[in-house]
Amino acid sequence: MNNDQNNGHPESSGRSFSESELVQMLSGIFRSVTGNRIVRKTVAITLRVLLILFSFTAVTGFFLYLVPAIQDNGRKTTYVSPETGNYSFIKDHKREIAKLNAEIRNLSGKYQSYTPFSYLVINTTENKFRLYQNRKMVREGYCSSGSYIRLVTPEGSREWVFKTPKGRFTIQQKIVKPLWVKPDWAFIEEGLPVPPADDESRYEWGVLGDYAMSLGDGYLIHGTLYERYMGMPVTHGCVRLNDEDLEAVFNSLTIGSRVYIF
Amino acid sequence: MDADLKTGQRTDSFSRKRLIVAIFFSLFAAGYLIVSVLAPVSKTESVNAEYMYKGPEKNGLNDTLLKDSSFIALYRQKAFLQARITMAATDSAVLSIDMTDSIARIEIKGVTVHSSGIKNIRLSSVFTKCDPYAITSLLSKPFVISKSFASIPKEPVVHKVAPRDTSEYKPYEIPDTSRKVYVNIILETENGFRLYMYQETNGSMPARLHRFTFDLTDRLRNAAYIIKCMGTLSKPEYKPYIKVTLPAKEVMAIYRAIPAKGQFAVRI
Repeated sequence: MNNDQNNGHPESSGRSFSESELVQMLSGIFRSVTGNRIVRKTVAITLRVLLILFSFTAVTGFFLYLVPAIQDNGRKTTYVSPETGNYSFIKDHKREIAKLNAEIRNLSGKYQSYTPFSYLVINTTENKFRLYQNRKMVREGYCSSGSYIRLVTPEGSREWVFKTPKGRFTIQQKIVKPLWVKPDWAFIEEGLPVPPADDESRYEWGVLGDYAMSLGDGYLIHGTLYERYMGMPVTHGCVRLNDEDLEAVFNSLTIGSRVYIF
Repeated sequence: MDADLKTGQRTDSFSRKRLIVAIFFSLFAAGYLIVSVLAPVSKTESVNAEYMYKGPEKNGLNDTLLKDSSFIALYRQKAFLQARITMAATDSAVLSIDMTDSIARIEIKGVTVHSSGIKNIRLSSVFTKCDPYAITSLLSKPFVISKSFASIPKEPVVHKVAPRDTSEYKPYEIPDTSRKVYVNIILETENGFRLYMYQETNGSMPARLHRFTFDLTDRLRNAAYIIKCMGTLSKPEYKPYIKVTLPAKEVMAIYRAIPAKGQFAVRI
């Protein structure tokens, strides 16, 4: 009979303590905890640490986050616009706005005139190039630029930084089947003795690819035997392209064409 | 009885000390708050005083025109073009940030060599509190970078000592480009503005953590500056900010492209 009654009330079936028993039990636990010196000390230390942490967070939050947030609040400028419904003044402004539009057209024209028709852009961070013709990009791909290695001789008397210069350059010379005249660093880098200026060992054919374009100060855009390094910063300051891209760039740009390196 | 009295006195002096510290700290915090809140007000006033339209009213530019949104939008466009044309005279790469179109561009001699979409923009309230004509006039000249704080080196130079002879020579090692770097930079200008360029985190926890610590360091630097000013009884200068979020490789390309004392223009 009792079982039947309990079946309808599942919450009453799991209850093993009365409320007063529960209160008694909890107060017993509290008494034993507060009575224990070690536990009391631990709780006190924990509370103190929590208080310090909270204070620290509050203070740093105030100085580093709340104050800057307050700095950024305040009255903002209200604009008058046709959307606000006040159209009366718009007519009077037409002349000024037309004048301003004309000035903008002039400035835009001036600004656009800076862009040449054919040019090459080299991104040394990503080691990518873009070729433009008639102000439209016609080819893009990977290249290799300066490695940013600072090479110092063992005695520390000479040093070179292998970086590609940045800025606007012009193609000063176009060379077919270029010859590489190895500079001093090419020997020093390999631990070889530096030969005299006109020594035969300085001349190497074929390592610069089929074409080269000079940017001045010894910097070239040329080909390479190491096409697997495309897209990486590995050169001594020149810009390397693979054979196909080099040919396309060589045929598209003329002496005087602009090269932008960033 | 005596011991009780002594303990009572000790507790009394301890709580008095605490009270003094609390009062001192509260005064300090209040002073910090006041000084910090007044700084942007004074920056707004100085920008307004320097760039506000001062011409005769009959000359066409009357007060309503200067607050007309369509006029100001065009005036901003003109100011941006003027700043870019000024920058085109320099030989190095410059940066232009067009907030209207959400585009950041690297330009060399007036030619856009690289552009990137801005993912997020936040502006200091000074830009909206200032007189619109004044702030646009300010933006018609390029900002000149005076200082920068960055999480990457401007030039990733690697030091290498040449071998003494061929036996010491080691072939060239391919650089490890797969290593993840987090790029966040702050460019401070000569006229006291700041451009923050954060990399997009794309939900990546390490990237977010890096950004948080970078930002926290900057906040600490600013707080230290204000406290230093309070100590020397001088007025701290508020540096209005422009915060943009871009993809990581774009932030790196921009930072490496523009020189240390480079220029940038902004269209808001």
